Amino acid sequence: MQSREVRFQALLMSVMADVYRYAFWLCRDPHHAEELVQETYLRAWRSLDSLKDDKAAKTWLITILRREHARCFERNRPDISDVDPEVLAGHGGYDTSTEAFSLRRALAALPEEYAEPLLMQVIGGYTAEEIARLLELSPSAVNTRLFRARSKLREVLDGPDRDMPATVQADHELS
Amino acid sequence: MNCLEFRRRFTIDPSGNGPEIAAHRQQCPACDRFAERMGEFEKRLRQAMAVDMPEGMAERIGRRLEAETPKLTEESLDRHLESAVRVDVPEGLAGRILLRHSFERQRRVRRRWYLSAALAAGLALAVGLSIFWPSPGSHGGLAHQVVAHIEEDTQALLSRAQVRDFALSATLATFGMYLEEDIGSVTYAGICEVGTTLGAHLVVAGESGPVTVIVLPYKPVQRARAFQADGYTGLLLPAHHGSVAVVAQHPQAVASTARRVSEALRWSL
Ligand SMILES: [Zn+2]
Ligand SMILES: [Zn+2]
Repeated sequence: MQSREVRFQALLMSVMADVYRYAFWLCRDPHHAEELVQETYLRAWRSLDSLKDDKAAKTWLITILRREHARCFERNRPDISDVDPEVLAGHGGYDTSTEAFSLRRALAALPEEYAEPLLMQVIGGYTAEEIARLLELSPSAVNTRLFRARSKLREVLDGPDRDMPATVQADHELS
Repeated sequence: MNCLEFRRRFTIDPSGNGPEIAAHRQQCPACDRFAERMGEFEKRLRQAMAVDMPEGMAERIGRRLEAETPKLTEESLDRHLESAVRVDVPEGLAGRILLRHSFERQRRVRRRWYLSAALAAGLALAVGLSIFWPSPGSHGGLAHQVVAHIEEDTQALLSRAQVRDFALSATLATFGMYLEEDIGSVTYAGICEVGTTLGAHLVVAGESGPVTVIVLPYKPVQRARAFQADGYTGLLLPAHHGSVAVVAQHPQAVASTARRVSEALRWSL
């Protein structure tokens, strides 16, 4: 067995679903997302030897993906109205309830500065400190964005937040 | 920690827990309920984020990578073929098959296994770097049978005691196999029914947890393929006339064990 391919297969191909999800929610377009993932894997394959820590495979791929995204898609980011409702409804095989649909629409409508830290945390498995470093933000700014992202999304399901007195939210927006 | 701080921290990272968080949850039923709702929300959020990959994307990526990879030269093809089907036949092997130690580091005569034209053609196909993409469907059944067996044979992953060398050798010898190099501490070795076939079921103690290695001598696969199922990551590799499945919870453990096993495993039959 050629070890380079085995390594690539086991470490990188196995996390492709997550990498695609990250790409999808980053550019909110399945075609761009696939292009982005293809580009990412091509680059990863070329520079596989620079991946020193196998545990960091997904993080590494997402880092490459973010760079590609910044390079190729920054200027022609699709408007959220472009997001195909069909896509948001999913391709079947998983939860297609109206609740999931509205949550997906809310995710698609989330401004990128809120969406990205959330994607990094939920899909990428990054810690708040890692997110802060990658986005060049202060840890408290990352916390604020994570807080607001989840609060916004929860409102979609639950209505305005009953659990969180306004003072906490306001208090936190200052940091 | 007060309730506001608790809820702020929990909203920022619902997976985060620590002694302070746990302590507050215990003494504050309202925040405990809040945490539960947040957990439920987080589950829905993950589901909402879980969009499916476009059909055929993995294959398209595989094809692009293939185009990127230099064409196999005669020499490298030879090397690939050899590593895929090589069978080393140590001199006087039969008498020593149960004593692995005795042929470690011994001089051996390496003979290229006879390759029929058909086998060579089939292997050339398998080796054509098609290894990149998971082939849809074809071995999905086998991967699932392997995972199902791992879940069924519960004691395999629980056993901690190291299997004695002779027991390991005997298990492998049943199928005419032996290990030429050490593959690490083996904590389970048995002959098991996997789906509708027989296999040698091993568990190797890895750095990040146990790694299951199931050799299926009678179940050929065309090419290497990665799979994920039920929280496991696995590789299914062609080996001799059959296949080897290497399965663990951590992908990096799979890669390193697969490498070791494919380097160490030999067939004498
Ligand atoms: Zn409380
Ligand atoms: Zn078993």
